Amino acid sequence: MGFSIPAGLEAELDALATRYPQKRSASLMFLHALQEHFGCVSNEAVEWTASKLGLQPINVLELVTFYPMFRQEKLGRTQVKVCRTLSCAMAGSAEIRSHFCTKLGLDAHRHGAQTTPDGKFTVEFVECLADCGNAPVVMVNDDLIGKCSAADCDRVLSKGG
Amino acid sequence: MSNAAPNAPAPTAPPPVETLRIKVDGRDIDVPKTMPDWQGRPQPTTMLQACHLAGHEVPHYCYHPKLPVAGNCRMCLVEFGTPAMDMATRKPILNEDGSVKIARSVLPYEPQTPRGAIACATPISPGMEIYPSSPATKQMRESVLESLLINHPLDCPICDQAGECKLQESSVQHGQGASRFVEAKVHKPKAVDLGPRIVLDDERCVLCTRCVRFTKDIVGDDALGIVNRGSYNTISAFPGKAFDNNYTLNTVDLCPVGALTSKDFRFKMRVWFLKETRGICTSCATGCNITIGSREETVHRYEPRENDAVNGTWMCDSGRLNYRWIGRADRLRDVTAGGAKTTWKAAIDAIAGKLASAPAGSVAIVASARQTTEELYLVKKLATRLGAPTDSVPREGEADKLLVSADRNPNSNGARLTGISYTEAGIQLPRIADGIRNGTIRSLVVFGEDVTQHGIGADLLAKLELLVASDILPNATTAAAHHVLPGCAAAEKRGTFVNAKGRVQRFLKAVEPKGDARPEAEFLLELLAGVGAGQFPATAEGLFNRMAGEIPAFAGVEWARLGDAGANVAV
Amino acid sequence: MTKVVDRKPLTFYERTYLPTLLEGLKVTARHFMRSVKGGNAALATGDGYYPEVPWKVSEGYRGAPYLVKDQEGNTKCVSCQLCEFVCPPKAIRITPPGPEGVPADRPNAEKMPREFEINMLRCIFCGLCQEVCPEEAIFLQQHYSLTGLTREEMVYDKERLLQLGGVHAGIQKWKHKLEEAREQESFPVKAD
Repeated sequence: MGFSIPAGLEAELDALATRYPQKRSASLMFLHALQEHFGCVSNEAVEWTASKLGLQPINVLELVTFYPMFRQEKLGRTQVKVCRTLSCAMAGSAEIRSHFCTKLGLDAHRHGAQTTPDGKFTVEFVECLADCGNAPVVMVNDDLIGKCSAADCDRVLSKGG
Repeated sequence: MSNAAPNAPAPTAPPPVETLRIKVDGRDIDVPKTMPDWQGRPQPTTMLQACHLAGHEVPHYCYHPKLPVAGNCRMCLVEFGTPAMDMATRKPILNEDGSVKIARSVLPYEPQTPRGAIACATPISPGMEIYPSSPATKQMRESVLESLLINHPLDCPICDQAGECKLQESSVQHGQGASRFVEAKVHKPKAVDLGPRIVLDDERCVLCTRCVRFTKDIVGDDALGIVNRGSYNTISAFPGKAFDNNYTLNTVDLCPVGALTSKDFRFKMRVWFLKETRGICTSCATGCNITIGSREETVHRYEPRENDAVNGTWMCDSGRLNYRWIGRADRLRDVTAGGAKTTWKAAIDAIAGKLASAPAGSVAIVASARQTTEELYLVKKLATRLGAPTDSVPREGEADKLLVSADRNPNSNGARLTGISYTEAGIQLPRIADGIRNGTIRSLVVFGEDVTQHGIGADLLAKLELLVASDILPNATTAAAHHVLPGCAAAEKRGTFVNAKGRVQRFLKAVEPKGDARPEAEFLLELLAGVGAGQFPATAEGLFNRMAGEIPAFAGVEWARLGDAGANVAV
Repeated sequence: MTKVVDRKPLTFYERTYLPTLLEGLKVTARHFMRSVKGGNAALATGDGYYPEVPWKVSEGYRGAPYLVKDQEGNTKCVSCQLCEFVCPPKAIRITPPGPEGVPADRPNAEKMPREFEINMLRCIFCGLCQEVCPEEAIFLQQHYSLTGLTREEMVYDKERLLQLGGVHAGIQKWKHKLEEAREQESFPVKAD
């Protein structure tokens, strides 16, 4: 199955678990660390976390599926997050997402995050990015692009993943 | 028991129950300050329990008396009021007539008045007033139901829960009757295979988490959880892990809607056709109380029946599904003599004649700890008359932590109390086998057991002059028998079992016996009369009361007083 | 007060019997000849007599209940057994599919009866089955004269009921649900 945790990371996480009065409280920190290391939280990672913290895998899976920041599939190197909350939706965020999808050869009709086969880009809708005054807003990795236009999108794409 | 020794200390009166005076719908009622929680430990009484004591049932989904309180369905919201307090002086505010002013949550809410609260998780306080029938309460119920029904598929015509669905019941009783929702409902997976015995329909789920709490807190198998978020919440097991412990079918009973349904009962019969009979599970010595659902002489399902002294509200899957053999096509239906069909009269006369003329000590009887106590009592009478050694067959398995007993016979204690078997059942069997082998035992009467599986092989049976076998299903013993007397399953007769802890419990008849089969007690009475062992009462009641009068352990127990919950005897 | 009617004695002509018999046969023969020539008296004067001319029932007539199919030829009944429950003379008998039964012949409905029998000797044409049906699957139709030579023949099974019932084009609830669910599978994108 090819799931193995480097000894260093395991030791770090074991130490982390001791900092909480209850072991299960360390679940989120474990998942963050595992996602940082593997790029996503796979079912194997969920099972590993559960066995480390004395939980059942389903308890950990509940967390992973609840929080949008945890990913069950690997993301691309460039993550394009298009806001779809009210202001941005009214300012045309759907068209921006469609534009990205068309340019990257992704299916705009599919729900959820989509990654290009070469692993360079991930495009997805997200909820409010807290910059409603500049709608529509797109976040490319850690950079926020306000009043995003088709040209802005093309600029992001031209940089390559 | 009741006959306490004269010098025993007088039983101490139970300590007075501390009560609180509250008002429910304007009526004063004193309710205990604490009441047992799901584990039986005293906890502050909740509004829901107080309303129940006042005779008012508050509708609910997630609350269950035997599960930890979750408070997530909001169905039990009620309006209530507490004595108003002056914030500055910390003294109660009085009305003009001197009575205590109640700060009541009247819509629209005034500042510092309590809002409606969930009755299942809100403890009562002195002077509290609960209004489970007020307009505000009704409005809250209607709104909660409307919200629960927004994404509910309303596929009642194809839903197995229809007829015993709390969502249907509450909608009729408390709902608005019409939906204002015009958008498309959220669609979720249907007919999801959750485990070997459970089908999940996510669209019907109201996310009460009863199943999650049951399997985690009662069974100790934390297998279920809620994944995803918001409208896409679904009950799920971890991918690749089946929900397959031995208690999964209880979640079907617990599920207030049709989200979790039983694969065994799926699309089999609508519940409103089922006749409900109070029975006892025969799969082990725990004796879980069950409700047998049958229609037109066919048993369709077993469901647990509440009895806190035995099984709470649960039963195991293996016991619950152990009913199909009752309707098996190869059931013994005919009375046979030498393989040819005959009548009961002829068969009983022939057997009684042969047994009565058999020399003392030449007859042995193997009874079954699956028989009722009354039948075992009669078998013992027969054995005494014939001077026959008796025993029953032990059946051992593995016990679990919750209900399943290691003793897989439902009435081992009944067999011991009636004197059929000794403390260790089955120790006489080798001696009976030896007796047949050396020719001292020439007649054998077997009830409900295949003795070839228990040390009396076909070679020994062939040596017998008379082999009488009474059974329900054909086996090697009935095949070898000179006389076969078809008997009844527990669901086809009335009687009692004594469980592993010594609780005598009665069960009633759900369906008619198949073919010519008759309850064993009936033909045992005729057989006893035929061998001149005397007359006995012909009904289960009469037999039980006669037996209770003779066997010291049953002293003070009466059929009529057993009720649905049973009574304890010393074992 | 009782009125006693005097019975007139028969005349000699009447007592000979045969002439009056022949008079009667003459009437029969006259009608027979007319029928042979194609001039049935009843047909000539009006709509005709039952059973040669079946009685035409009006549109709202409620005769024997039959099962109907939807416009795509699928069984509408989902075996909810409400009609069996409500039927006052217990004429309806449904065998549900059970856990191993065949699934419904249209997607999403999950369930259809394994067997559906109506005993037409018991049926009283009350129409409660039609009224209670949540699926619009059973309708009282225009047949009023049901005949058979044996009792068994009068128990109509599922095939026969469906064949007699024909098609009722109505709301396709389960299909609609399926389409709605399919629609939600794909993300709505404005066509440009």
